[in-house]
Amino acid sequence: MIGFVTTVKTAAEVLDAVRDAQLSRGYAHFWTTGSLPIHNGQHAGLTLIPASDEILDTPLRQGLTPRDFPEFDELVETLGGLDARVDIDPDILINPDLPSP
Amino acid sequence: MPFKSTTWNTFISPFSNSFTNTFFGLGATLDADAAAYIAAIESTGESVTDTQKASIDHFYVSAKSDGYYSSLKRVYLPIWGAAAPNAIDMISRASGTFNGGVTHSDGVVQGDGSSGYFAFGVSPASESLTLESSCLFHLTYSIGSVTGFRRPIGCENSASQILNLAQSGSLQVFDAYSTSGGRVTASLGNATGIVLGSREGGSRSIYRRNSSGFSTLVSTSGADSGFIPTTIMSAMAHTTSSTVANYSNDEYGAYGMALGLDSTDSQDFTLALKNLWETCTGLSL
Repeated sequence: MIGFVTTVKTAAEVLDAVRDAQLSRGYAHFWTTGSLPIHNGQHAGLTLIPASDEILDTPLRQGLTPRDFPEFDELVETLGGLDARVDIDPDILINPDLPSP
Repeated sequence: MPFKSTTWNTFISPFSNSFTNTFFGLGATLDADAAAYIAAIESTGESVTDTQKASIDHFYVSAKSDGYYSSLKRVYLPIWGAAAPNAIDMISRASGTFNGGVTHSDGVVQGDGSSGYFAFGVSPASESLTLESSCLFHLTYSIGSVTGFRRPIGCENSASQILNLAQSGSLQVFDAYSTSGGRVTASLGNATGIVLGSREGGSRSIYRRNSSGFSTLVSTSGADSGFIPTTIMSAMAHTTSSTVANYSNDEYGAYGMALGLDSTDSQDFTLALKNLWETCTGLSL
């Protein structure tokens, strides 16, 4: 899974900014990357912000994608730039407290 | 008496002929809730054709005339190919939130099976579902690569405070509101079509509508069990108070929650939803 590995605090700030970018334009909060806690491996305790090209190219409205918002570059820069994205093993995201089937 | 479009819908089917378009082009009165939903979709920049408008109008009018409209709490129709219109609830016109990897195609949405899901923004408790009366449904167009245990729609605080529809390669599962005393299962794996789980009239039931018609997969009487979840309801995954799990990457054309629907209302609602989705998308279940 491709995304940015960052701290819980930074992830919260980025997601707040994504939400505010929509609300400040009078839109509902209809889209976010979300974030996933990392439970295992060298990044345990940190957070993954999913950010594959497919996610960043999501059609939002009127033909716009996340990349078309002026805030996009600033937020990506906060996370170290697009080249800072990593491809991680989804197994490190598995929550040991998953609800049982 | 105001001129009702249902009268015309009875005679004009499918809604794609030029007369229907002319009819709507002349500004015939739409059901007020249909008009509000269409306006909400159009406000996102999406175009709604006259055929789609007629079908949407027919859905609302039939839901009201058949008597189950007031039971519907959230109905999402993610057919529009973009996140903003797909996030709009047909009942309240409020928006939920897409999270992570979700593909928005014409007619369906599809999570990536690992990060993508849709959060309603409301819980069963906040929508006044009760232990005696609740319903979840999803319209599944095709099965994705994740064929193990997955929850197309659901949420939980704990195993005794849970509401969800799940499926696997061999089972359909409806938990209302406990995975022990409140669970019913049906031996049918990887089901496409509309699957609806309902707690109503003292029974827990799973119904299915597909191209072959309507069927009761299971219906079992049982006492109330568990508690009503206060966590946010989600589709394409299952939200708990601390995590998201059981992602699905099946293709979905609709999902939502309601108060309990009995067998008659379930038949009427699933038929109306099937007609709405098929007419608006040009696809078939």
